[in-house]
Amino acid sequence: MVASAAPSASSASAAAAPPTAQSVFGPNVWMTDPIGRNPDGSSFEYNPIYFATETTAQTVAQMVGGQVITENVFTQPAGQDPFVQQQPNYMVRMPNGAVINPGLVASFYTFGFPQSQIDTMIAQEAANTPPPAQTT
Amino acid sequence: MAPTGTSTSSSSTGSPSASASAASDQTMFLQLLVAQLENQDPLNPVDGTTFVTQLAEFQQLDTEISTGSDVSSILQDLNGLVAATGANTGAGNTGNNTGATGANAS
Repeated sequence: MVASAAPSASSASAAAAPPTAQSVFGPNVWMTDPIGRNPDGSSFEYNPIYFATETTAQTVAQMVGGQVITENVFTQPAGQDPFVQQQPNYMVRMPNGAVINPGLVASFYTFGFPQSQIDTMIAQEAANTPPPAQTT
Repeated sequence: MAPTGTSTSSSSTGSPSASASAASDQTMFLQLLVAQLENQDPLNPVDGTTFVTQLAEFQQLDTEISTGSDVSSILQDLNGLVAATGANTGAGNTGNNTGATGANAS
């Protein structure tokens, strides 16, 4: 939770508190301690910002009109990668087929920005993610 | 597809070109921030102090944009006031002022 800045006397909209990740997605926004396995069996920690909980993913899916899917974003399919993800990433497939990371979207709410600026960031995230290439 | 939320629009009475430029700068900053967030180390979160510094700079920019709009608004109000005052007093007042100045000087 980012502390709110000094109130602006000239802006009526400043009176409304900016949304936070917890106010939008609930108390468990990201998975706690997502880990992977090295080839020698030892474990390492992933950056949790990329591992949204299913609840967070569902909320983001509602925002963009998409659906929740699971993917191993950081590793190849089993047997093709010496590294193993111990948990998949909940992702959101948008109507155009592009897949975005809801954990990343949730992180947009951690800066204390107003919703209008967060909307800009979400739109940018969607724009940065190209839809899958047509194979036919 | 469009993100939902309670978008707030800020009304501006400042110069249209200055406001458009400031809005463009804000959008550019947000684009860069998103790109930075997208390209974090998969194993380590980005150092929070980096974001705090950027956030402070962004809020400073936001404040400066707001100040610019306020100054433009004040300027417009002053121009309006000067025009209204000039229309109400007319040229006779100027003559009186000149006379008073002359009296003080002698």
